Amino acid sequence: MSKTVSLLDESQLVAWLRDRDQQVMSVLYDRYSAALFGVIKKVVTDNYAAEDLLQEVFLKIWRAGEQYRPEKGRMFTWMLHIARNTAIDYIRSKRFKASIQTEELDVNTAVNERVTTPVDHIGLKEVIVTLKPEHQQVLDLLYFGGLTQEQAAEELDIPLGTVKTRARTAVQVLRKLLIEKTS
Amino acid sequence: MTPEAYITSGILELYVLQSLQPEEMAEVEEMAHHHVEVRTAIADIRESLAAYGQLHAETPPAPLRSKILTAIAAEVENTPAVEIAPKVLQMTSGAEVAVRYARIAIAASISLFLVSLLTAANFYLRWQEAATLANTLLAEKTVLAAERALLQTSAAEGKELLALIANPDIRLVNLQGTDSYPEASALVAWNPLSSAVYLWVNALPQPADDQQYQLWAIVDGQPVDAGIFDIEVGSKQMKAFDKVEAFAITLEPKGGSIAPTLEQLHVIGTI
Repeated sequence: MSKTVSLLDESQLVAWLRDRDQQVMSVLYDRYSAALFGVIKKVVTDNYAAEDLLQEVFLKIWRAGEQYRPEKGRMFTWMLHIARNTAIDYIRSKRFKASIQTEELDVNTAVNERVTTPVDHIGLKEVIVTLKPEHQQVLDLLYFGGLTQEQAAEELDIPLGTVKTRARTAVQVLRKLLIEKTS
Repeated sequence: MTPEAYITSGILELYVLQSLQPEEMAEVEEMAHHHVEVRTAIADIRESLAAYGQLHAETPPAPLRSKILTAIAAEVENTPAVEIAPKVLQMTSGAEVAVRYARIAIAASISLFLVSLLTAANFYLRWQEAATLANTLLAEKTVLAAERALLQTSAAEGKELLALIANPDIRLVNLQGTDSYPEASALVAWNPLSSAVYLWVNALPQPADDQQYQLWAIVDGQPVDAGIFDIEVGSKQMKAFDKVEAFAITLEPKGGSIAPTLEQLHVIGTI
Protein backbone atom coordinates (compact mmCIF):
# COMPACT_ATOMS: atom_id res chain seq x y z
CA MET A 1 0.00 0.00 0.00
CA SER A 2 1.64 3.20 -1.16
CA LYS A 3 1.31 6.37 0.82
CA THR A 4 -0.60 8.21 -1.90
CA VAL A 5 -3.24 5.52 -2.12
CA SER A 6 -3.58 5.33 1.65
CA LEU A 7 -3.96 9.09 1.88
CA LEU A 8 -6.56 9.11 -0.83
CA ASP A 9 -8.39 6.32 0.88
CA GLU A 10 -8.16 8.12 4.17
CA SER A 11 -9.77 11.29 2.80
CA GLN A 12 -12.55 9.08 1.54
CA LEU A 13 -12.87 7.47 4.95
CA VAL A 14 -12.91 10.88 6.60
CA ALA A 15 -15.79 11.93 4.37
CA TRP A 16 -17.70 8.78 5.22
CA LEU A 17 -17.10 9.25 8.91
CA ARG A 18 -18.23 12.87 8.68
CA ASP A 19 -21.36 11.78 6.82
CA ARG A 20 -22.10 9.34 9.63
CA ASP A 21 -21.93 6.47 7.15
CA GLN A 22 -21.84 3.37 9.29
CA GLN A 23 -20.06 1.39 6.57
CA VAL A 24 -16.90 3.35 7.27
CA MET A 25 -16.51 1.57 10.60
CA SER A 26 -16.03 -1.86 9.06
CA VAL A 27 -13.42 -0.40 6.71
CA LEU A 28 -11.68 1.36 9.58
CA TYR A 29 -11.79 -1.83 11.60
CA ASP A 30 -10.30 -3.96 8.83
CA ARG A 31 -7.59 -1.44 8.20
CA TYR A 32 -6.63 -0.23 11.68
CA SER A 33 -7.94 -2.64 14.33
CA ALA A 34 -4.62 -4.54 14.46
CA ALA A 35 -2.60 -1.38 15.06
CA LEU A 36 -5.05 -0.09 17.66
CA PHE A 37 -5.38 -3.45 19.36
CA GLY A 38 -1.59 -3.86 19.41
CA VAL A 39 -1.10 -0.56 21.21
CA ILE A 40 -3.97 -1.19 23.61
CA LYS A 41 -2.74 -4.65 24.44
CA LYS A 42 0.79 -3.38 24.93
CA VAL A 43 -0.51 -0.79 27.38
CA VAL A 44 -2.94 -2.92 29.41
CA THR A 45 -1.25 -6.35 29.04
CA ASP A 46 -4.62 -8.00 29.50
CA ASN A 47 -6.33 -9.65 26.54
CA TYR A 48 -9.88 -9.34 27.85
CA ALA A 49 -9.42 -5.76 28.92
CA ALA A 50 -7.78 -5.01 25.56
CA GLU A 51 -10.75 -6.45 23.69
CA ASP A 52 -13.20 -4.40 25.73
CA LEU A 53 -11.08 -1.31 25.27
CA LEU A 54 -10.86 -1.88 21.52
CA GLN A 55 -14.64 -1.79 21.35
CA GLU A 56 -14.68 1.34 23.48
CA VAL A 57 -12.11 2.91 21.15
CA PHE A 58 -14.12 2.18 18.00
CA LEU A 59 -17.25 3.56 19.64
CA LYS A 60 -15.30 6.69 20.58
CA ILE A 61 -14.06 6.99 16.99
CA TRP A 62 -17.60 6.68 15.70
CA ARG A 63 -18.98 9.19 18.18
CA ALA A 64 -16.15 11.68 17.68
CA GLY A 65 -16.02 11.18 13.90
CA GLU A 66 -17.33 14.65 13.18
CA GLN A 67 -14.72 16.21 15.43
CA TYR A 68 -11.76 14.85 13.50
CA ARG A 69 -9.83 17.58 11.68
CA PRO A 70 -7.62 16.36 8.81
CA GLU A 71 -5.46 19.49 9.06
CA LYS A 72 -4.36 18.39 12.54
CA GLY A 73 -2.95 15.10 11.36
CA ARG A 74 -3.68 11.81 9.73
CA MET A 75 -6.79 9.95 10.65
CA PHE A 76 -4.81 6.92 11.69
CA THR A 77 -2.76 9.08 14.04
CA TRP A 78 -5.93 10.49 15.50
CA MET A 79 -7.39 7.02 15.97
CA LEU A 80 -4.19 5.70 17.51
CA HIS A 81 -4.17 8.70 19.82
CA ILE A 82 -7.67 7.76 20.98
CA ALA A 83 -6.67 4.12 21.43
CA ARG A 84 -3.58 4.93 23.44
CA ASN A 85 -5.36 7.52 25.58
CA THR A 86 -8.17 5.12 26.33
CA ALA A 87 -5.73 2.39 27.33
CA ILE A 88 -3.56 4.77 29.37
CA ASP A 89 -6.64 6.13 31.16
CA TYR A 90 -7.62 2.56 31.95
CA ILE A 91 -4.29 1.55 33.49
CA ARG A 92 -3.90 4.85 35.30
CA SER A 93 -7.28 4.46 36.99
CA LYS A 94 -6.50 0.81 37.70
CA ARG A 95 -3.18 1.80 39.19
CA PHE A 96 -4.86 4.52 41.21
CA LYS A 97 -7.39 2.05 42.62
CA ALA A 98 -4.64 -0.43 43.35
CA SER A 99 -2.57 2.23 45.13
CA ILE A 100 -5.55 2.97 47.36
CA GLN A 101 -5.99 -0.72 48.19
CA THR A 102 -2.33 -1.59 48.71
CA GLU A 103 -0.10 1.41 49.02
CA GLU A 104 3.04 -0.64 48.89
CA LEU A 105 2.15 -1.98 45.42
CA ASP A 106 4.93 -0.87 43.16
CA VAL A 107 3.76 1.00 40.12
CA ASN A 108 6.91 0.03 38.32
CA THR A 109 6.42 -3.70 38.55
CA ALA A 110 3.70 -3.61 35.91
CA VAL A 111 5.68 -1.18 33.83
CA ASN A 112 8.80 -3.35 33.87
CA GLU A 113 6.81 -6.38 32.81
CA ARG A 114 5.43 -4.42 29.94
CA VAL A 115 8.74 -3.01 28.83
CA THR A 116 10.24 -6.46 28.72
CA THR A 117 7.34 -7.91 26.73
CA PRO A 118 8.91 -9.90 23.90
CA VAL A 119 8.49 -8.35 20.49
CA ASP A 120 8.07 -10.39 17.37
CA HIS A 121 7.04 -7.82 14.78
CA ILE A 122 9.51 -7.58 11.90
CA GLY A 123 9.23 -3.82 11.58
CA LEU A 124 9.60 -3.48 15.30
CA LYS A 125 12.73 -5.55 15.34
CA GLU A 126 14.30 -3.22 12.82
CA VAL A 127 13.35 -0.22 14.90
CA ILE A 128 14.62 -1.78 18.06
CA VAL A 129 17.88 -2.56 16.44
CA THR A 130 18.16 1.05 15.44
CA LEU A 131 16.96 2.46 18.76
CA LYS A 132 19.41 2.40 21.62
CA PRO A 133 18.01 0.38 24.57
CA GLU A 134 17.95 3.39 26.91
CA HIS A 135 15.95 5.37 24.33
CA GLN A 136 13.48 2.60 23.72
CA GLN A 137 13.12 2.11 27.45
CA VAL A 138 12.07 5.72 27.99
CA LEU A 139 9.85 5.65 24.94
CA ASP A 140 8.07 2.48 26.04
CA LEU A 141 7.59 3.73 29.57
CA LEU A 142 6.04 6.91 28.30
CA TYR A 143 4.24 5.50 25.29
CA PHE A 144 2.91 2.23 26.59
CA GLY A 145 3.40 2.69 30.31
CA GLY A 146 1.49 5.94 30.40
CA LEU A 147 3.98 7.33 32.87
CA THR A 148 4.57 11.00 33.42
CA GLN A 149 8.08 12.26 32.86
CA GLU A 150 8.50 12.49 36.64
CA GLN A 151 7.44 8.88 37.09
CA ALA A 152 9.74 7.78 34.27
CA ALA A 153 12.63 9.71 35.79
CA GLU A 154 11.97 8.10 39.13
CA GLU A 155 11.55 4.65 37.60
CA LEU A 156 14.79 4.83 35.66
CA ASP A 157 16.53 6.95 38.30
CA ILE A 158 17.53 9.59 35.77
CA PRO A 159 17.03 13.39 35.74
CA LEU A 160 13.92 14.91 34.17
CA GLY A 161 16.05 16.55 31.48
CA THR A 162 17.42 13.19 30.47
CA VAL A 163 13.89 11.79 30.10
CA LYS A 164 13.14 14.67 27.74
CA THR A 165 16.35 14.21 25.73
CA ARG A 166 15.94 10.47 25.41
CA ALA A 167 12.27 10.81 24.44
CA ARG A 168 13.22 13.34 21.81
CA THR A 169 16.06 11.24 20.44
CA ALA A 170 13.82 8.17 20.27
CA VAL A 171 11.18 10.07 18.36
CA GLN A 172 13.76 11.52 15.98
CA VAL A 173 15.07 8.04 15.22
CA LEU A 174 11.52 6.86 14.60
CA ARG A 175 10.93 9.80 12.32
CA LYS A 176 14.04 9.09 10.37
CA LEU A 177 13.01 5.47 9.92
CA LEU A 178 9.54 6.54 8.90
CA ILE A 179 10.85 8.93 6.25
CA GLU A 180 13.25 6.25 4.95
CA LYS A 181 10.44 3.71 4.80
CA THR A 182 7.97 5.88 2.93
CA SER A 183 10.43 7.57 0.59
CA MET B 1 12.73 30.47 24.79
CA THR B 2 12.78 30.55 21.01
CA PRO B 3 10.54 28.12 19.13
CA GLU B 4 13.60 26.26 17.88
CA ALA B 5 15.01 25.79 21.39
CA TYR B 6 11.56 24.81 22.57
CA ILE B 7 11.25 22.17 19.86
CA THR B 8 14.68 20.66 20.56
CA SER B 9 14.11 20.57 24.32
CA GLY B 10 12.11 17.39 24.04
CA ILE B 11 9.02 18.83 25.73
CA LEU B 12 6.93 18.39 22.59
CA GLU B 13 7.58 14.63 22.58
CA LEU B 14 6.44 14.45 26.18
CA TYR B 15 3.47 16.60 25.26
CA VAL B 16 2.41 14.19 22.51
CA LEU B 17 3.03 11.26 24.85
CA GLN B 18 0.89 13.12 27.42
CA SER B 19 3.54 12.70 30.04
CA LEU B 20 3.47 16.33 31.11
CA GLN B 21 1.72 18.00 34.00
CA PRO B 22 -1.41 19.98 33.09
CA GLU B 23 0.34 23.36 33.43
CA GLU B 24 3.16 22.18 31.14
CA MET B 25 0.59 20.91 28.63
CA ALA B 26 -1.07 24.31 28.63
CA GLU B 27 2.31 25.96 28.09
CA VAL B 28 2.99 23.80 25.02
CA GLU B 29 -0.43 24.56 23.63
CA GLU B 30 0.21 28.26 24.12
CA MET B 31 3.49 27.96 22.18
CA ALA B 32 1.83 25.88 19.47
CA HIS B 33 -0.85 28.51 19.18
CA HIS B 34 1.70 31.25 18.49
CA HIS B 35 4.29 29.34 16.42
CA VAL B 36 3.51 27.37 13.31
CA GLU B 37 6.86 25.55 13.52
CA VAL B 38 5.85 24.21 16.94
CA ARG B 39 2.58 22.99 15.49
CA THR B 40 4.42 21.29 12.61
CA ALA B 41 6.84 19.68 15.02
CA ILE B 42 4.00 18.33 17.13
CA ALA B 43 2.34 16.88 14.04
CA ASP B 44 5.59 15.20 13.02
CA ILE B 45 6.07 13.70 16.48
CA ARG B 46 2.54 12.37 16.39
CA GLU B 47 3.16 10.68 13.07
CA SER B 48 6.39 9.16 14.27
CA LEU B 49 4.86 7.83 17.46
CA ALA B 50 1.87 6.51 15.53
CA ALA B 51 4.30 4.61 13.33
CA TYR B 52 5.93 3.24 16.43
CA GLY B 53 2.57 2.16 17.79
CA GLN B 54 1.75 0.59 14.46
CA LEU B 55 4.89 -1.53 14.73
CA HIS B 56 3.23 -3.35 17.64
CA ALA B 57 0.14 -4.20 15.61
CA GLU B 58 -1.60 -7.38 16.62
CA THR B 59 -4.71 -8.69 14.94
CA PRO B 60 -7.51 -8.88 17.49
CA PRO B 61 -9.47 -12.14 17.89
CA ALA B 62 -11.72 -12.68 14.85
CA PRO B 63 -15.08 -12.69 16.75
CA LEU B 64 -14.28 -9.21 18.04
CA ARG B 65 -14.95 -7.68 14.61
CA SER B 66 -18.65 -8.53 14.46
CA LYS B 67 -19.06 -7.82 18.16
CA ILE B 68 -17.69 -4.30 17.82
CA LEU B 69 -19.49 -3.53 14.57
CA THR B 70 -22.72 -4.78 16.14
CA ALA B 71 -22.12 -2.51 19.12
CA ILE B 72 -21.65 0.43 16.77
CA ALA B 73 -24.75 -0.50 14.78
CA ALA B 74 -26.69 -0.69 18.03
CA GLU B 75 -25.44 2.76 18.95
CA VAL B 76 -26.32 4.03 15.48
CA GLU B 77 -29.82 2.72 16.00
CA ASN B 78 -30.00 4.15 19.47
CA THR B 79 -28.47 7.56 18.88
CA PRO B 80 -30.44 8.61 15.83
CA ALA B 81 -33.40 6.81 17.33
CA VAL B 82 -33.60 9.72 19.72
CA GLU B 83 -34.15 11.91 16.67
CA ILE B 84 -35.85 9.49 14.32
CA ALA B 85 -38.03 7.61 16.77
CA PRO B 86 -40.28 10.59 17.48
CA LYS B 87 -40.56 11.16 13.71
CA VAL B 88 -41.52 7.52 13.20
CA LEU B 89 -43.91 7.77 16.10
CA GLN B 90 -45.29 10.93 14.62
CA MET B 91 -45.67 9.20 11.27
CA THR B 92 -47.46 6.19 12.70
CA SER B 93 -49.43 8.25 15.13
CA GLY B 94 -50.06 10.67 12.29
CA ALA B 95 -51.41 7.85 10.15
CA GLU B 96 -53.45 6.58 13.06
CA VAL B 97 -54.70 10.04 13.69
CA ALA B 98 -55.53 10.40 10.00
CA VAL B 99 -57.46 7.12 10.06
CA ARG B 100 -59.11 8.17 13.29
CA TYR B 101 -59.95 11.53 11.79
CA ALA B 102 -61.26 9.86 8.64
CA ARG B 103 -63.46 7.62 10.77
CA ILE B 104 -64.58 10.54 12.84
CA ALA B 105 -65.17 12.56 9.67
CA ILE B 106 -67.25 9.78 8.09
CA ALA B 107 -69.17 9.24 11.31
CA ALA B 108 -69.62 12.97 11.62
CA SER B 109 -70.81 13.25 8.01
CA ILE B 110 -73.33 10.47 8.49
CA SER B 111 -74.45 11.98 11.76
CA LEU B 112 -74.68 15.39 10.17
CA PHE B 113 -76.64 13.97 7.24
CA LEU B 114 -79.06 12.20 9.56
CA VAL B 115 -79.37 15.28 11.72
CA SER B 116 -80.06 17.45 8.68
CA LEU B 117 -82.55 14.90 7.38
CA LEU B 118 -84.36 14.87 10.71
CA THR B 119 -84.14 18.62 10.90
CA ALA B 120 -85.53 18.95 7.38
CA ALA B 121 -88.35 16.53 8.18
CA ASN B 122 -89.00 18.36 11.39
CA PHE B 123 -89.11 21.70 9.60
CA TYR B 124 -91.33 20.29 6.86
CA LEU B 125 -93.81 19.00 9.45
CA ARG B 126 -93.65 22.26 11.32
CA TRP B 127 -94.09 24.19 8.08
CA GLN B 128 -97.15 22.10 7.26
CA GLU B 129 -98.48 22.64 10.75
CA ALA B 130 -97.86 26.33 10.39
CA ALA B 131 -99.51 26.45 6.98
CA THR B 132 -102.56 24.58 8.33
CA LEU B 133 -102.63 26.85 11.33
CA ALA B 134 -102.36 29.91 9.08
CA ASN B 135 -105.27 28.67 6.97
CA THR B 136 -107.31 27.91 10.08
CA LEU B 137 -106.51 31.30 11.51
CA LEU B 138 -107.32 32.97 8.22
CA ALA B 139 -110.68 31.18 8.13
CA GLU B 140 -111.32 32.04 11.76
CA LYS B 141 -110.38 35.61 11.02
CA THR B 142 -112.91 35.73 8.18
CA VAL B 143 -115.56 34.24 10.44
CA LEU B 144 -114.64 36.62 13.22
CA ALA B 145 -114.72 39.57 10.85
CA ALA B 146 -118.20 38.52 9.68
CA GLU B 147 -119.33 38.01 13.25
CA ARG B 148 -117.81 41.30 14.19
CA ALA B 149 -119.68 43.05 11.35
CA LEU B 150 -122.87 41.31 12.44
CA LEU B 151 -122.29 42.24 16.05
CA GLN B 152 -121.57 45.80 15.06
CA THR B 153 -124.89 45.89 13.19
CA SER B 154 -126.66 44.23 16.09
CA ALA B 155 -124.97 46.55 18.50
CA ALA B 156 -126.01 49.53 16.42
CA GLU B 157 -129.52 48.19 16.26
CA GLY B 158 -129.51 47.49 19.94
CA LYS B 159 -128.26 50.96 20.68
CA GLU B 160 -130.89 52.35 18.40
CA LEU B 161 -133.63 50.29 20.07
CA LEU B 162 -132.36 51.21 23.50
CA ALA B 163 -132.31 54.85 22.52
CA LEU B 164 -135.91 54.51 21.35
CA ILE B 165 -137.10 52.71 24.44
CA ALA B 166 -135.17 55.03 26.71
CA ASN B 167 -137.07 57.93 25.16
CA PRO B 168 -139.93 58.72 27.58
CA ASP B 169 -142.10 60.04 24.68
CA ILE B 170 -142.08 56.71 22.83
CA ARG B 171 -145.15 54.52 22.74
CA LEU B 172 -144.59 50.74 22.35
CA VAL B 173 -147.38 48.92 20.47
CA ASN B 174 -147.40 45.12 20.68
CA LEU B 175 -148.89 43.66 17.47
CA GLN B 176 -150.36 40.22 18.27
CA GLY B 177 -151.26 37.43 15.88
CA THR B 178 -154.84 37.15 14.62
CA ASP B 179 -156.93 33.97 14.93
CA SER B 180 -155.68 32.80 11.53
CA TYR B 181 -151.96 33.50 12.46
CA PRO B 182 -151.74 33.09 16.27
CA GLU B 183 -147.89 32.62 16.22
CA ALA B 184 -147.26 35.90 14.43
CA SER B 185 -145.89 38.81 16.46
CA ALA B 186 -144.36 42.27 15.90
CA LEU B 187 -143.59 45.47 17.79
CA VAL B 188 -144.05 49.09 16.76
CA ALA B 189 -142.44 52.02 18.53
CA TRP B 190 -144.14 55.34 17.81
CA ASN B 191 -143.08 58.79 18.92
CA PRO B 192 -146.16 61.04 18.82
CA LEU B 193 -143.96 64.15 19.14
CA SER B 194 -141.66 63.36 16.23
CA SER B 195 -144.26 61.18 14.36
CA ALA B 196 -141.46 58.56 13.83
CA VAL B 197 -142.54 54.93 13.50
CA TYR B 198 -140.20 51.93 14.00
CA LEU B 199 -141.07 48.31 13.33
CA TRP B 200 -139.59 45.08 14.74
CA VAL B 201 -140.72 41.80 13.37
CA ASN B 202 -140.65 39.07 16.01
CA ALA B 203 -142.30 36.26 14.07
CA LEU B 204 -144.02 36.27 10.69
CA PRO B 205 -144.42 33.44 8.18
CA GLN B 206 -142.03 33.43 5.26
CA PRO B 207 -143.84 35.17 2.37
CA ALA B 208 -143.98 33.89 -1.21
CA ASP B 209 -141.66 35.44 -3.77
CA ASP B 210 -144.43 37.56 -5.25
CA GLN B 211 -145.69 38.75 -1.84
CA GLN B 212 -144.60 41.41 0.64
CA TYR B 213 -145.73 42.37 4.13
CA GLN B 214 -147.28 45.84 4.48
CA LEU B 215 -147.73 47.90 7.68
CA TRP B 216 -150.95 49.87 8.05
CA ALA B 217 -151.67 52.73 10.41
CA ILE B 218 -155.31 53.09 11.47
CA VAL B 219 -156.11 56.81 11.46
CA ASP B 220 -159.66 57.92 12.23
CA GLY B 221 -160.92 54.34 11.65
CA GLN B 222 -159.32 54.11 8.21
CA PRO B 223 -156.22 52.00 7.29
CA VAL B 224 -153.40 54.14 5.87
CA ASP B 225 -150.29 52.65 4.19
CA ALA B 226 -147.28 52.84 6.56
CA GLY B 227 -144.83 51.09 4.22
CA ILE B 228 -143.83 47.69 2.85
CA PHE B 229 -140.94 45.67 4.42
CA ASP B 230 -138.89 42.43 4.33
CA ILE B 231 -139.05 40.23 7.40
CA GLU B 232 -135.22 39.63 7.52
CA VAL B 233 -134.48 43.10 8.66
CA GLY B 234 -134.56 43.60 12.40
CA SER B 235 -135.82 47.10 12.81
CA LYS B 236 -137.11 49.35 10.17
CA GLN B 237 -138.16 52.95 10.27
CA MET B 238 -141.59 53.22 8.63
CA LYS B 239 -143.70 56.15 7.39
CA ALA B 240 -144.34 58.84 9.95
CA PHE B 241 -147.74 59.49 11.61
CA ASP B 242 -148.65 62.20 14.10
CA LYS B 243 -152.02 60.62 14.89
CA VAL B 244 -152.60 56.87 15.01
CA GLU B 245 -155.17 54.63 16.73
CA ALA B 246 -153.76 51.20 15.83
CA PHE B 247 -151.17 49.37 13.67
CA ALA B 248 -151.69 46.24 11.57
CA ILE B 249 -149.68 44.07 9.14
CA THR B 250 -151.12 42.34 6.10
CA LEU B 251 -149.55 40.18 3.44
CA GLU B 252 -150.03 41.87 0.10
CA PRO B 253 -148.92 41.38 -3.52
CA LYS B 254 -145.33 42.53 -4.07
CA GLY B 255 -145.09 46.34 -4.06
CA GLY B 256 -148.04 46.72 -1.66
CA SER B 257 -151.71 47.66 -2.01
CA ILE B 258 -153.73 50.81 -1.69
CA ALA B 259 -156.16 49.07 0.59
CA PRO B 260 -155.32 46.16 2.91
CA THR B 261 -156.48 42.66 2.11
CA LEU B 262 -158.30 41.87 5.33
CA GLU B 263 -158.17 38.06 4.82
CA GLN B 264 -154.41 38.40 4.98
CA LEU B 265 -154.33 40.30 8.27
CA HIS B 266 -151.58 38.69 10.38
CA VAL B 267 -151.07 40.92 13.42
CA ILE B 268 -152.84 43.96 14.93
CA GLY B 269 -152.28 46.14 17.99
CA THR B 270 -154.03 49.24 19.33
CA ILE B 271 -152.39 52.15 21.13
